[in-house]
Amino acid sequence: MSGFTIFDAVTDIDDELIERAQSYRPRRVNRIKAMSGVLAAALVLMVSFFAAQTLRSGDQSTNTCDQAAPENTCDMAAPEAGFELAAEEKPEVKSITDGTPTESLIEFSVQNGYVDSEQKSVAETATYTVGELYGYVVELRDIEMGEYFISEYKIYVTKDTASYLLAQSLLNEAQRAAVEELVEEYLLREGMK
Amino acid sequence: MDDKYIVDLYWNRNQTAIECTAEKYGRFLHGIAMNILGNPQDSEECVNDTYYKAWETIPPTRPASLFAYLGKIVRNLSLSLRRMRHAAKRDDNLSVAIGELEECIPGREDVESQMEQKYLTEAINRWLHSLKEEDMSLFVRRYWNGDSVEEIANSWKVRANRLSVRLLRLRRNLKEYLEKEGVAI
Repeated sequence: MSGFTIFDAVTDIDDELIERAQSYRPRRVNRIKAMSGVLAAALVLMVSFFAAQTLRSGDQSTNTCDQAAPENTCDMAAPEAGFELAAEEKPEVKSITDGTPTESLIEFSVQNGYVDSEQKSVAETATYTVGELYGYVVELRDIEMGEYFISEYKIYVTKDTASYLLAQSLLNEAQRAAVEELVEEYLLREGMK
Repeated sequence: MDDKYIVDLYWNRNQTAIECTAEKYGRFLHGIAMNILGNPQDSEECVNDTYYKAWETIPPTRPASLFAYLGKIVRNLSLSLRRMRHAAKRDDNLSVAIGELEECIPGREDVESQMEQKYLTEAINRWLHSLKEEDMSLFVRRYWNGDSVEEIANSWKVRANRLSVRLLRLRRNLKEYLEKEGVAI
């Protein structure tokens, strides 16, 4: 036996690779820019949701007024801007692992607007990106701004299509690719793919 | 102090070449040796032997990357010394790294012929060149430098478990690549 292993083979890799590796540092997304993107996208989301809801409410109230309905139905005010969705408006979110419907993530972000920590709002956003690409959503925890990775694996399925707009505007190609890779990894490890 | 200046000192047989090399690269070389050997005395020995070998081989060599050139020398010397001193498998960082890489060629712990060795290195090179910058850097830092996952995570300011998952994926990818290239059995 020569004793030469794959570890030895790595010794003689190209000098250029060795040099590049020593000086490489991951690119960090500018926090302020990223947060501006999150807030802008949250605003877009709220507007689109309430626009949709207003249209639906308008239809219903028209029908209601044509019928013998209580007085206050036609005078029903539009939901207070920002944070309330009627139960039937909430998109259904279901966990792949046990089939139990879980709380809607989009409801969470709309209800809270800018959520309790900047990390969490970014997590919700990244969650939607993956959801729209694969028909499921991965809940992200313990993330850092500009870096997306999974340390707790929870898979949800979302039927919400409005989130796609939000997701598209927020994550760049490299970040989406990073999240996609991690999701693939998770699915392979769990035998789901 | 750029590399060209230092290499010219070697070519002019000016002994300050060694001092300059130690000043510029001593810390890195010690780091690589320590990652492999785990003790300062052996590391010191290998680093000193590296300077000696550099003096002997430059000229006629004129390395384009002095860091990579010296790094390869110290790596080879350190691995040889490690084999001599530690026959049994150990639980240290390097043994873990070696074990991880050996998964990429299951059933083949060593490579016999020089042709196969050369082919394996070339295949790994091609594979590394095909990777994204971050993945390539992670692989080289882990398996060429011998840095622990925690060290890399600290220097990149990311979480270690994220890098572990990525390394697992990279090793799988390398294994598939080597199988396709007909290297792995």
